[in-house]
Amino acid sequence: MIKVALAGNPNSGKTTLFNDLTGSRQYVGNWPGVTVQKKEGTLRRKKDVIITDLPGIYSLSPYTPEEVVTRNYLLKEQPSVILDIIDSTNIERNLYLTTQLIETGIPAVGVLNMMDLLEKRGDTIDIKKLSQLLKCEIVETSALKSKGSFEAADKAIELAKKQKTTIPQKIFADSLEAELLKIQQIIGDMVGQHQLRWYSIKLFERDKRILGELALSDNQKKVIEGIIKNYEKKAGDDSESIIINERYEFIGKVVKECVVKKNVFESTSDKIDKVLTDRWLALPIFALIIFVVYYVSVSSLGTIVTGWTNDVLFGKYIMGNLSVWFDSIGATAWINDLVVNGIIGGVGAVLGFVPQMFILFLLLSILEDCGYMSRIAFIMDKIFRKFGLSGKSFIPMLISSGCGVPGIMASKTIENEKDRRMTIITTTFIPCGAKLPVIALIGGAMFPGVVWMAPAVYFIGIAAVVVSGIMLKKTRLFAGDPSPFVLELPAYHVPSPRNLFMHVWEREKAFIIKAGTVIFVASGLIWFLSGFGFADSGFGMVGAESSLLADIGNIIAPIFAPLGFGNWKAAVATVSGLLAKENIVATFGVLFGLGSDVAEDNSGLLQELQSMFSFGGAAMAFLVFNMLCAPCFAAIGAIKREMASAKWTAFAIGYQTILAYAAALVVYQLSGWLGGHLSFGIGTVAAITVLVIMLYMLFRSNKYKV
Amino acid sequence: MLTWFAENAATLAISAVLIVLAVFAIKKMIDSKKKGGCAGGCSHCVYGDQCSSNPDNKPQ
Repeated sequence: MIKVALAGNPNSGKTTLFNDLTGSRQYVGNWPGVTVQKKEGTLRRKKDVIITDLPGIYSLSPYTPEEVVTRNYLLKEQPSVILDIIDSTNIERNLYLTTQLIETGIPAVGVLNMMDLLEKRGDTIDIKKLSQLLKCEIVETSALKSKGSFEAADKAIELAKKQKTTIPQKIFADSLEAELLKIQQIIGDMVGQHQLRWYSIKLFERDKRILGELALSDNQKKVIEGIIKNYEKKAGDDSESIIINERYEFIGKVVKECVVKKNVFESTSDKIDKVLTDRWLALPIFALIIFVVYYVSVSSLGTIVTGWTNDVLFGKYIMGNLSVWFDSIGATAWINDLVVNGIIGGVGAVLGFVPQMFILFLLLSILEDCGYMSRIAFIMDKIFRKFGLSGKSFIPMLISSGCGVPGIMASKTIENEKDRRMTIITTTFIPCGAKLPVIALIGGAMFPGVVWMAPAVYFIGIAAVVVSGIMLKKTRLFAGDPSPFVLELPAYHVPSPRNLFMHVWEREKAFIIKAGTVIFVASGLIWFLSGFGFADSGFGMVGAESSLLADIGNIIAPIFAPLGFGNWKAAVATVSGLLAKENIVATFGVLFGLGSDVAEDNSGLLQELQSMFSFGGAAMAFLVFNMLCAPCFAAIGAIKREMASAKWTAFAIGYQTILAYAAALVVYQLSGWLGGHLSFGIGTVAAITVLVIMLYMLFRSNKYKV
Repeated sequence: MLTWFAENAATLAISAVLIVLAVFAIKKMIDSKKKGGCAGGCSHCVYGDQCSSNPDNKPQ
């Protein structure tokens, strides 16, 4: 029986080749223990040849489940031969895996796929030279056109029948090869000769799984660590990066000698990236883009359209006419109040922000679909690495700007368990779409004309992520080095209008449905609780201050007194945000009895909010608390699922709420004292103490740093 | 009795509509929770094909 393993990058044409070789004989199952799809089939003309399609991977490093599965299969199952499918139009990236596959010592055939596309471009590859430099057989295929597939299989079978393992060639700098040789001499009798190079490189990279697999003595580990540390000092880089750089040096030389590109010019994407990912310009450009996104969607265009939706559509047409009609048909006052001020007041308040959400989602979708957002993850990697995370942790946060739930789910891709937990905890600090109405309401009402208000809230979210990362990484629970981050930057392209529209509509639809369900029920409930209570005559309709809601609110309000919003309305609104963050707006809409006029240019609302918040700092503290505290129930559910632990879920919620409380306390107390609104007192002392503790946790040395 | 119904017909009709809408809303919330998915919608979600909440990803 000959076992042929198909390996290669995702989208290199493996599956197409697999289907071509196996025809209708392939079947699908799951690798035991992981959710990675396994495909096995027999070669169409030869039943004694089993073709195993391995998961698409970019490297054999042990970070993703796919990578671990593939390398375990190659090292443990030892197939007869590997067919390495190389996308010839992206040869440089694909050769990275090729060099690693060859290092396993298993005979390999390089399959240059998509040659038809390469020819179309006018580029050429010197197959003979490539084969000489890589020291492996190379064949050309165009799997989509069924050209060369069986030639590749025949070559593989020929190699397999020779039953020879290969000793991989040396491809790194002489100085590095000398160190690898030292490591090979230590592990010489632990692994097969053809695997020595593979294991020595993995040990040099401090691969924990390999370290665990080889039963090295303490002395051997010490000697190997000494070899690595010496070289790292000489090279001025960490061992993993050294290997990566050396590999790409080798690949660069190979590509230079073997590949001839017809048009040697910079692509448009490369030119754009020169500016957008420049080491000095990248962050300011990112800040500017986010400023523009939030300025357009919240402070300028968004305000105009939301103003019309609230004042004209809901206020004048729906509310006004409905109330008059109810009177004309003899509906009672309470039902009129329930429908107009309660339900439409609450739901309308939220729906009034749909235009702003549309603009925000549209702009974010443009940034995602054009390819810019991948660059952000790449840019943030450098910053995140300074406090122990990688750019991979930023991807969930980018997704969270739409909705926190998929953002939390996206943490699945982070292999390091500690980093994954930290990402889950901090992802919802980035304002999601549901928080936008709250930002717009408070910002517009309390800080009119302050155009940097909405972008500032976004950056407060990022600051909370950075601060949390620095503080938590210095604790035993989260200490550790970040995983390397390899990201393929897609070429920039003009987003398809159809895709954009569908993308935006899906999010808007979900928002509107939530308004029609969760907010609808919540508004009715809040109307009831704020309109009924126990009076002298018993239970019945009462004023808001004597209502059940006020009673409940007054119990929890003192908790928020140090933060500047210790009144029952603000307290109730904050708690109602647990259902859905936009419910905060709906709650104000119902409580102020202003119907749908909960728009920032409504003078009645301004007066109501000013009476609730004594000065701007209190409103800012309210905003900061609600932006950073525990997210909505849907997001909490996602946290629970991803953490798979009640203890960690409780920790996440607790941490978020405590950080939110601390930040809001500092904002309110210090802005109040420095602005002359508050006198120096116990609140100020508490805020300064909290600030000092946070600064200490930020700047103390990291005793867990290696 | 009939007089009371006649006088309050509008209120009763509006109340009935509200109750029906509330029941639909609560039913939709319960069904959504059972079916899976999140508030963002799955079709154009970046992680739609990996998310455990996506009803399309649940085993048949």
